[in-house]
Amino acid sequence: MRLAEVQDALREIVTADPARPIVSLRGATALAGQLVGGVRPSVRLAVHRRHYRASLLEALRTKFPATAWLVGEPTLVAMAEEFVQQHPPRRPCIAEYGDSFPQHLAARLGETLPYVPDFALVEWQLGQVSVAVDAPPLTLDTLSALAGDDEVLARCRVTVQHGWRVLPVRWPVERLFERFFTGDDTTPTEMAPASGHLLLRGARGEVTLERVAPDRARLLGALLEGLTLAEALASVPDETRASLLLAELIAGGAITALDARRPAQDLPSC
Amino acid sequence: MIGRRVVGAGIGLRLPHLLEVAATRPPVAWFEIHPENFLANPHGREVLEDIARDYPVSVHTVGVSVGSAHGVDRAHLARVAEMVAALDPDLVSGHLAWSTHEGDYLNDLLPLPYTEETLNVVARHLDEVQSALGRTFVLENPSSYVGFAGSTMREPEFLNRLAASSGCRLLLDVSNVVISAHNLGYDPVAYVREIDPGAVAELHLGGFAEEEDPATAEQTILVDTHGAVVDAKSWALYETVLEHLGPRPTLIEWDNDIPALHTLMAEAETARGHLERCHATR
Repeated sequence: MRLAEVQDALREIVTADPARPIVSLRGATALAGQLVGGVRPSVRLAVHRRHYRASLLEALRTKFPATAWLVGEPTLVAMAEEFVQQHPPRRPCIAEYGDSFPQHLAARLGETLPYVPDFALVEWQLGQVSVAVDAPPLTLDTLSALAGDDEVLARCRVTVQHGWRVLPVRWPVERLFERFFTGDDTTPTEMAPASGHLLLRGARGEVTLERVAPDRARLLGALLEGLTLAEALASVPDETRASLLLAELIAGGAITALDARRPAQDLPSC
Repeated sequence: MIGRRVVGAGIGLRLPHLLEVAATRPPVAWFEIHPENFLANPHGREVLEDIARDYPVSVHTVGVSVGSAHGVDRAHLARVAEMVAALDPDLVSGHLAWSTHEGDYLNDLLPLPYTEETLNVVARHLDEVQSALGRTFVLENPSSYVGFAGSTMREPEFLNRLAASSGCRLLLDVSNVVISAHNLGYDPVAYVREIDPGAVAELHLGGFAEEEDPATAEQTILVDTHGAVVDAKSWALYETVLEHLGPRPTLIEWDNDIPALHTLMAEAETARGHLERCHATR
C-alpha cells in the first residue's frame, strides 16, 4: 500500500462513528494483513480512535461550561458528540475548535430551547475576549484635534480594543449569564424574546457583558467593522448623540489607535 | 530566558501552571511549551514571553505533521515559525507521526510504515519545516500500538537515516521506547543501542497506563497517557540511555490529569539525580 492509502484507511477508522466496530470499517479491510501488534492488530487502533474523540469532546466541554450548566451535561455531551462526528477539526490548534458549535446547537435545539444558540455564541465569544490583551487607550485629547475636520474624519479609522465585541441577540441571555457567574441555580429566569445587542469586554482573564443601547451598538459595530469615523458617526441618526457616544467610547478606553492615512482597501478587518 | 540553552531536567509548562510559574518563578532548569496552546491565546502568549525572559525554553509542536503523505499544513507551520522567531527557543521539536490528512486534523499522533517511500516523504517535509523555521528540527520517536508488516527497516534505523539525510536531530522519548517495545514485542535496550548517539539532542520521560490488550486475550498494552508519574521501567531504561548517550537535556511530560507543579518538579529532580550521576561517571 502507498502511504496515502494507509492514511486514508487510518483516517476512516479514527473518525468513524464509534458505534461501528473497527473490523466492520472499509479502512480495516484495506489494512488487513498490513498491521502487526497482537492477534487482531486493527482493534488496537481503538486507542487512537478513543483519544481523538475524547480530546475533542473535552475541548468543547472546556469551552462551553455555561452552556452545559444551561442545557445539562448529558445534553451538552450528546450535542458535542454529534458535532465532533459531523465537523472534524480542520486546523491543528484545538483552542480554535468549536467556533461553529453554537450553530450546531441552533440546528438541533433551536426549536425547543430557542435562547440556547444566542447563549452559546456569547459564551464562545466570552472565551475569545477573555484571552485578549488590552492596549493603552487613546484619550479624548488625541481625538479632539480631529473634531470639525471633515476631510480627516472621512479618512480616519480607529482600532478598537481586541477584547471588545458587539453581538446581536434575540434573547436576554445576559440574565442567564448573571445566574451562571453568581452560581445562582435557584432563581427561575423567565425567558421572553428581547432583541438587542450585548457588549462583551475582556482582557487577561477578566470579562464583562452588558446590554447596550441600539445606537451605541451601531456606532461601535461600525468602528469594529473598520468603517471610517465619518461613516461610523453617520450610522447614528442624531449627529450630537453620535459625537457624545463616540466621546463615551473613547473615555471608556475602547479606542487604541487611529489612522487617517490608510486607504480603505488596505485595511485589515478589525 | 530567550535564547539560552536547555540543560539538565526541565518540565512541560502547560496552561494550568502558567500564572503560577509567572508569579513564583520556581527553581526549574527549563520549560518546554506546545505552541498550539498559545497560538489563539494572546494573554497566555504575553505571560509566556515574560517567563521566557528568565528560563531557557524548548518549543515542542504537536501539529506539524511531517509524516502526512499530502504535505504539512503550511499555514500552521507559518504560525509556529512566527512564535519560534519571537521566543528564540534553544530547541524546536515535533513527532515522527502524522495527524493531518486532506484538510482534516485528527488530533493524535498516528503511526507510519517505515519504508523508503515514507523516508522520502518525511525527509522532504523536514527540509520544508527546517527551512520555514530557519533552524534544525528535533524529531521524536513515537509511541506505537501497531506496526506495519510492510516496514522495511526498524524504527531506530529509520530515525538515524532521517537524521543523516535531513540534518534533523533526534528527541528520544524513553517512555515511548518502553511503550512501543512492550506493545510490539521488541527489546527496548537493543532499540536504544541502535540509536546514533551523536544525533540525540533531547530526552523525554512521561507517564503511561497499562490496559487490557483489545487485540490479544490475557495480554496488556501500554497507553501513552502522559497522565501519571514516570514508571519504574522508564527510569530503568533512562539509566541505559544515559550510559549509551551521555547526559542530555531531559523533559518531564504531563498533559492529562495535570498535578500540582511541585509534583512535576519532584519528577524533574529525580531526572536531575540520574543526570548528575551520569556526569560523575564520565
